[in-house]
Amino acid sequence: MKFFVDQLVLGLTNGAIYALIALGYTLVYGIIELINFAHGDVFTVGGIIGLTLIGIFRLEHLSPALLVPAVILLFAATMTITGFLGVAIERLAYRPLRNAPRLAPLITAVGVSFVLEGILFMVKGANQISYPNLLPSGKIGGGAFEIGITNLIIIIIALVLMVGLHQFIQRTRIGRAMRATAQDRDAARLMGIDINRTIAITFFIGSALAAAGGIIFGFYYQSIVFDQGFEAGLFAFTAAVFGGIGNVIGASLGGFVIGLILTFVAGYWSGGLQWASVVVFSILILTLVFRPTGLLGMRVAER
Amino acid sequence: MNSPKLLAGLAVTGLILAACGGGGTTTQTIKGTIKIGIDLPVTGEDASDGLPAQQGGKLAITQKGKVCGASSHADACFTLTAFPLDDAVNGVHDPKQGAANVQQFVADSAVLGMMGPFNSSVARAEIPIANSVNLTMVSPSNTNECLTQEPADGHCKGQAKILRNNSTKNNYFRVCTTDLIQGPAAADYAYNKLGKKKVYILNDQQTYGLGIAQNFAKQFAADGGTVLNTDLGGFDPTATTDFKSKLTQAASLGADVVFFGGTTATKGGVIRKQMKGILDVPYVAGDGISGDQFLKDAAPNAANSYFTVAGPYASQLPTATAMIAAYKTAFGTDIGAYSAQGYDAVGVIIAAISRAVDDAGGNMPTRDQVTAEMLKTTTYSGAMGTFGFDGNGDTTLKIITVYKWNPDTGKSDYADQVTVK
Repeated sequence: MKFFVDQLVLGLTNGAIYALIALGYTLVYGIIELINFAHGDVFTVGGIIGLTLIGIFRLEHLSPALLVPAVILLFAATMTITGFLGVAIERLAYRPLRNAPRLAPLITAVGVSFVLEGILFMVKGANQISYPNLLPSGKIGGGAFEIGITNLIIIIIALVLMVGLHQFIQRTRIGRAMRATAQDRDAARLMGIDINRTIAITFFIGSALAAAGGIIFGFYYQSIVFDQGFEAGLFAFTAAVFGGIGNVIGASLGGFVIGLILTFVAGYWSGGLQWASVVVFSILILTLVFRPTGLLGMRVAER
Repeated sequence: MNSPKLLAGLAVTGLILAACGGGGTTTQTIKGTIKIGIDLPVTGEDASDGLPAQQGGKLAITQKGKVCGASSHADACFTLTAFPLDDAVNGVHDPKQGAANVQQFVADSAVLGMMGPFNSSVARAEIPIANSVNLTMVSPSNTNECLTQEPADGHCKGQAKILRNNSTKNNYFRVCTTDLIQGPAAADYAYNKLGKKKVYILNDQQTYGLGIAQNFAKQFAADGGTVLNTDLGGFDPTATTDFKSKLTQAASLGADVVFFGGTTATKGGVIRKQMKGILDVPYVAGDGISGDQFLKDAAPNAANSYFTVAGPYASQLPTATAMIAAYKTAFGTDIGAYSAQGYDAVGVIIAAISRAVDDAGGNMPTRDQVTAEMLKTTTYSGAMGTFGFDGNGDTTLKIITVYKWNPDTGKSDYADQVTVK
């Protein structure tokens, strides 16, 4: 029982990270039907920006009382900066190609991914970079239900962000504009929605959520490396497809499911560590073959 | 050694030298340039091991400056230069890059031997290329036994022969002993000295990592210990970031020590870091985690980590004193775990070239002549001691050193030294 609970918590923690990345894939796909392959690297950049801010403001040496507002500010600042990075990528690399054949922006996205990875490699080098955990460590609860406080906080942060995003999309004017643009871009434009601005906001939100995922990843694993976004991005992409690409709740759910699968495969199967990727990508293939709209996906009209 | 005898020997040599000098008959002439290739990973995660080994090799070359015939053609000399290349791509050793580097050495007719590579997986890509032109290779650190031999249980599946294009020529040598020795030495240390009975094993599934894990498991079981996971915990180092669930499994099985087969670049330090709070037991690995980067990757959980090095602890060897001092003067830093190996690997090549100059009648020797002289090496006296090569090209000096990481000093402390007969 204890073992199961341990694995469950580890899986949900991993899942929280994948879900935050998956949201960016699904938001962008929902609105401009682009699979933004650079998104995994935006996640890494977010983690690095967070680490830089921690270094500049010496957050590691802050007194515990100040740490809670400091961490909240850290998330806010990092998410904002990374959000603008996402907007810049959209403006420079994707907007000029918006009416080009769909393969063109896809290839550009792969290119942007390599550019980001290359910059990170030049700036930070190939080594693992140590990352402090500003969240409290230690355990909470007892018996079989003793779980790490860090894990708990990470899952809560992710859930708060997800609920916030959902409310934002459902309740605000901008959210409504995003939904309208996703449904029919031309009709939305005729209704007076600024399409460019709406798409830019979508990239901002997606990149900001990935940045949150990047900081959480750093806190949790206490190390970060320039090319981690590639693999994490593919897992998150699988999560988005599994949940139904374009569907925000589906991406969150998909993220947690992929996190749990990765963890349970490694934890319960003695040779599981080497099979984890195989299992995840088999799920991707099976989903695409048998249920292309994913768990919760809506049928998208073919264009 | 008996010192009066040595002194007498020196005196006699001095007299002979003086006599020659007085006669003024031997004037050394420089007949050309001989290059010694050095292929090691010197950027990224592997640099902390690769660079000190490269500098050890460069030191041997700059100290000699030139190579002359060993006896009959002592007047025929060649200027020695190093031809160093990096086989790391994006900071990690890369077999394809290693192969490309060896192609460069092969294409340059002045290269009569090379030191390297550092990693066994790179060696597998390089040996066939160098073998086809019989270019001498001496690795400071390849410990995978399958590169040179076919152990009795047949687990190498004839790789050594395949790597040599099924020819009987051997051009590959190494100055460190093999994982056949390193793995069991680590197992003995964990079982006897650390007193651990239940091991959980992880490996990166590369040539080196899987090999050392298998040999560790075999000896640990033979010693009376329990190997908790017979699958040896293989994982894909480029795809796996989360080891926490696997380590939780190890903890639930009651592991009291973890053995890792792999290198720092294949997540050796990351795994140690993730053990914190989940599995607080000693961590044992091979020389793959001997570089300083391990401390950074594993911090703040680097304490209680042990590693073996297939080679001696140079600062404890009287034979290495002069080399250590010269290294410090030349590079301003202390030697790394592989500096002495790099120094001796190049040194033994130079000695063979020197004899080959005689074989070539005082002219530029061929690669075949150098390799033939390498095979005849039986008593080369280097920084590590006196050694030669057996028929497979493996060193006869089988020393394993155990180190323990000390996060407080940022260095690894000598823990134990084992010489295997």
